[in-house]
This record gives sequence, structure tokens and C-alpha cells, in this order.
Amino acid sequence: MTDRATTHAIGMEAATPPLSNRHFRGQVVEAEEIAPRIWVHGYRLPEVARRAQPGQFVHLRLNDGTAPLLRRPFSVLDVYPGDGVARILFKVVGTGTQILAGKRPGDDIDVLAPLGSAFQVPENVRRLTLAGGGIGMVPLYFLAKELTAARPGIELDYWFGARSAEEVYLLEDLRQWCKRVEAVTEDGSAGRKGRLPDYAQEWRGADMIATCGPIPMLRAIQATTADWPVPVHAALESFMGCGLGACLGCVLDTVDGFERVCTEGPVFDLRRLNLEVPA
Amino acid sequence: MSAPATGTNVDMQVTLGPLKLKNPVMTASGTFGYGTEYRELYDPAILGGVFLKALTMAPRPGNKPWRIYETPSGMLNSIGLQNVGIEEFFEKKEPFCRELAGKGTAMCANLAAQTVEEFQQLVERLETTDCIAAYELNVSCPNVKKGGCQFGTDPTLLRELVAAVRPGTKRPLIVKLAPQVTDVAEMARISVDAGADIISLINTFPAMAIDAEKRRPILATVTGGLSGPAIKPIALRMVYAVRQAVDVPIIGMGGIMNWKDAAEFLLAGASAVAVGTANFVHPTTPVEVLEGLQDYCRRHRYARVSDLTGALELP
Ligand SMILES: Cc1cc2nc3c(=O)[nH]c(=O)nc-3n(C[C@H](O)[C@H](O)[C@H](O)COP(=O)(O)OP(=O)(O)OC[C@H]3O[C@@H](n4cnc5c(N)ncnc54)[C@H](O)[C@@H]3O)c2cc1C
Ligand SMILES: Cc1cc2nc3c(=O)[nH]c(=O)nc-3n(C[C@H](O)[C@H](O)[C@H](O)COP(=O)(O)O)c2cc1C
Ligand code: FES
Repeated sequence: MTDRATTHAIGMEAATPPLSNRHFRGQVVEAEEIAPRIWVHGYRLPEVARRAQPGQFVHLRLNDGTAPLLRRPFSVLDVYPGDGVARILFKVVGTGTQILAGKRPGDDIDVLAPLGSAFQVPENVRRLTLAGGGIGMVPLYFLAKELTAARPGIELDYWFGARSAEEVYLLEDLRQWCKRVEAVTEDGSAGRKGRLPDYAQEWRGADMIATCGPIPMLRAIQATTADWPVPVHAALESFMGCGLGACLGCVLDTVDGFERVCTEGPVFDLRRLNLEVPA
Repeated sequence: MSAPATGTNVDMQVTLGPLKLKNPVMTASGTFGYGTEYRELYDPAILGGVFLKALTMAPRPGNKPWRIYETPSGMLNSIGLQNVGIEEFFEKKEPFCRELAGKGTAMCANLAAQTVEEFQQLVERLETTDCIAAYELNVSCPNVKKGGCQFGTDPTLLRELVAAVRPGTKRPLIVKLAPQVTDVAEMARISVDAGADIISLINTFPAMAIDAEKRRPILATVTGGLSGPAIKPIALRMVYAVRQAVDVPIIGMGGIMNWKDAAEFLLAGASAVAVGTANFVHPTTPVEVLEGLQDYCRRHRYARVSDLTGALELP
């Protein structure tokens, strides 16, 4: 894996000692708006960079006050263990993400991580389709990058769904790792026109599907792929409290009852989920 | 007031009637799981006590999502008493309770039920383990259709319940009061008359959030319980009111985010405090509250943290 000595130079200073095995104080080493309202942040968090797996998330405290009160969860975009840097990519949608977007290199960040479950790709998978809607691309980007390094010869197809061209990003990186990269936009301003699930039939040849995105999209993919003989795994979102499995606030309904997105998830077997929640 | 304590160790022990705690810092029910969830962040054995997640006789699946939502300086929850049920508690959770109890942390069971008989059965079953230090009757959960706060808001039912549970145990009996009553002090008096050893308060306030664009309530159950800093001033007033009304010790909670908040609850009349929502925001809050209270006592020359209880100086 490549390190980013120059970009992350500021991160080469001594790291703050971990507060515990799951609770860290890191520094912002990278903050870039890569598309309108879409930010990539790099944090100096050596432990997280070493341990985080695709699908797992970081739970960030945004300020020391009480507004916003709760932490906010973000999937890990990728890691640079050599530099001790973990990155996230987020979209500004409200108060918390607005505050986060104001952070600059050198600022401190309080992090619980790495949390939750990761994508498990069985050894026999030769051809994997990754289907990410909007910000749902984040854990799949990490998965594509890690699999390329760990499983030479694996064939990756990447489907990037968005509203319009300006919400399609990081395609150059994805093209390095994936045999085929397709963009699908609702207004047709980039790639094909429509919504991701409209093209699900083209994923037929895959040995596995990994997906992440808004619940209506996942519901459509669930319906289309219901009887396909391959695993379909999805990373889910929910409102979160503790992120640690204690508050039971983040559950989704599964065939085995309610399960915690922060602990049993965020990665679930999509077929096990009952997605009848208000989107 | 006791002798000056500069440079000396502050005595952090507190005695709440029959319940002795090594320090006054506890964690509130439903915000700390069964203690295991926070093990990777710090050793929960430093806590004076832990209120376990509510237990019911049968397992409860809880409410549909969405269950939580952030509001200004607070949060709504509608968990619906999801829990493993008393038998699985014994199989899976009791060992860690035993471990913590062995280290001197008071493990308090939070009991929830729809009938008086079910409360009695819970106590009867828990009497068979020696790792439970006290029972907290949750008569104040706003998030279940039946049995939630009905006991906590109806004086007659409350009296009957406490009186019926009392003979079943010699362990400390804590009644956790609901804030949505006209006169919380009266509910405390009734609980104490009927045999409660300790009063804890407050539980969450019934509250709601609406998505105007979608014209829909955010929570699947429409309403939930409000917790966090937003409720702290009300909680303080209620602790203060209960202090005037009854002689038994009080465990205060509601929006405690740091040692200063905790000190305020002690001054208002609580003998111990419980940290709730703050566990989600900053998981080591209880550790920092403990250290901060110690430091506060040193600065203000209190030899014992228990001297803070009710030490409010009125104008
Ligand atoms: C496991 C997990 C991984 C995530 N990964 C990413 C990521 O990689 N990049 C990214 O940009 N975002 C990600 N999110 C979503 C991100 O956490 C939210 O966008 C963020 O919390 C919004 O905070 P805010 O204060 O800006 O918005 P708020 O002011 O809290 O809310 C703004 C709007 O967004 C809605 N909203 C906020 N959070 C959620 C949620 N969790 N589910 C549904 N609606 C919500 C609110 O209802 C409101 O309409 C993830 C969420 C989870 C649970
Ligand atoms: C997610 C959540 C779950 C809770 N579950 C319970 C419970 O099972 N039993 C109970 O008596 N109180 C429960 N409570 C209430 C808390 O124990 C506490 O009384 C209340 O949240 C006020 O304290 P706080 O503002 O510090 O959180 C819960 C609170 C929250 C936020
Ligand atoms: S966020 Fe608390 S249990 Fe998942």
C-alpha cells in the first residue's frame, strides 16, 4: 500500500497516546472539498489505520459542547498504516457535518473506532460487483482498494449511482482497481441515465454483490437479487447513539429480530433485513 | 461542615441508607448496557454502581426503528425496554455482574413489568443471585404501551406496587420516579411510605420530534423520552423538591455531562448521581466525574464527598 508522506507530513509528529483501545484523539492531516459539499478528511490515528476493515466506521465527536450532542458515524474511506492515517469521505447534510467541514489540518478530533462489522468476501469469490449509491460509495471504495492489494486476480465491477455528474467522484482511483467502472446518474449528466437498481440485471455474472446506499435503493436491489445464488451484502445506516452496542438505539429489523447497526452491522446479509423503515 | 482536607485524600464513600457505594458515581439504566459494552474503554469497576438495562420476565424485542433522534442539547429515545429477559440474563450477563460486584461496584437491577405480580416475580428470581446490590423499580418508562409509566403517574398504583414488592426482599429498594407528574415530591412521599429505601430521578420526559417536510413523526412510536443536558435544570429542581419532602437518600440524574453537573445534583440534595446520555457522547464521562468531584472536594475543603449532599446555601 502506498503511503502519502507529503500529504500527511503534518501527521508524522508524535501521535497523542490512545485514550483506550477504542477511543482515540487524532489530528486532522488532510481536509479537502473534492466536490461540492463532499469532503475527504485524513486523520492521524495509527491504531485505526492498522486495524480498520472495509465496512467499519468511526464515531466522531464534533465539538466539546452540547449542540450537536451526539457523535456522528462515518465509514472509513481508506487507511495508510505506514503514515498512521485513516480517511473518511462525507457529505455536508446538516449541523454536524457542517462543523466537521470546518476542521482544518492540525485540529484535534475525538474518535471511537474502529467500530462495527466488515465486509467478508469468501475466498472463492472471483468476480465481485460493488454497487454504491451516493455517499454509499465510501465503504466500497475501501473494499475495492483492499481487495486489489490482498487478492490479485479478483475481478471488480464498480457501479457508482448519483443524482448528477457533480456527485460522481474518485472514479480515477476506482478505475485503477476495477475492471469495469460504471456511473449511473438520475439526470444522465454522467454515465448512464437512471438509478442503480435499474441496471442490476447486468450484475448477474458476479459471484457476490456488495452494496451500500439509501434504503429505497437497497430495497430495490434486495427485490431484484432475491433468488440469485450469490451472497449479497450491504452496509446500512441508522441514527446512532453510543456506537458501542449499549443503547440499542440503532437497530434494524432482521429475520432474527432487531440487530444493532453499530455492532452486528453495519454490514449485513441484505436478504436477512426487513427494510420496511421510513427512508 | 467537616475539617479542611487540602492535600489529604477525600473520602469518596457514600451511604444511601442500606446501600453503601465506594463512590457516588453510577451509570443510568439503559445507557450502559450490562457493563460489558464499555469494558474496552475503561474498567467499570471504578464506578460506585451500575444500573443495568431494564429487565423483564420474558425477553422483549423492543420498538421498531427509528428509535433515537437528536434534539437541541438532548435526544429522544424509544427503545421500548428491549432486553434479553430474566433467564438469559442469568445465562449470559450475570457472570460479568458477579465480576464487577466482586470488585465492590454495586450492581443494581432495573426492573420493568406490566403487573405487580411480574415485579414480584422479577425480585423473587433475582433474590437467587448474590451479585445484585439493589432493585430499582422502573415505574417511569415512557416508551411502552402498557405498564410503563402508569405505576409512576398514578399515586394509588404506585403505593400498591411498592408495598407489594417490599416484603419480597431485604435488599435496598429504589423507586425511579417519572418526571411527568404534577407533584414529584408527593410521588416520592408515597414511595417512601410504602417502603422505598431510596428515590432515584429523573427518567426521561415524554417528548416528540416531527419531520415537517415529510409531515411525519421521526420516531416509529411517534413519541419517545427526552434525555440529556436539555432536561438537567428540570431534573435539578425535582431532586431539590424531593429532598424537601422525604428523608431517604436520593440518586440524581438527568443531563449530567461532567463533574460540575454532578456536584450540582449533590448540592441540590442527591447522595449519588447517575450518568446517562453522556455515556454516548463521551464514554469516559463517569471517570472524569469521579476525578472532578474529588478535586472539587479538595478545593472546597470537604473531607467527605457525602458532605456535599444538600449543602446548597440558600439566599
Ligand atoms: C455506519 C454509518 C456510516 C456512515 N458513513 C457515512 C459516510 O461515509 N459519509 C457520509 O457522508 N455519511 C455517512 N453516514 C451518515 C452520517 O452519519 C450522517 O450524514 C451524519 O450523521 C449527519 O449529521 P449532521 O449533523 O450533519 O446531520 P443532521 O443535522 O443530524 O441531519 C441532517 C439530515 O440528515 C438526516 N440524517 C442524519 N443522520 C442520518 C442517518 N444516520 N440516517 C438517516 N438520516 C439521517 C436527518 O434526518 C436530517 O434530515 C453514515 C452513517 C452510518 C450510521
Ligand atoms: C437510550 C436510553 C435508554 C434508557 N433505558 C432505560 C431503562 O431501560 N430503564 C430506565 O429506568 N431508564 C432508562 N433510561 C433513562 C435513563 O436511565 C435516565 O434516567 C435518563 O436518560 C436521564 O438521564 P440522562 O439525561 O443523563 O440520560 C434510558 C435512557 C436512554 C437515553
Ligand atoms: S448506537 Fe448504541 S447500540 Fe448501536
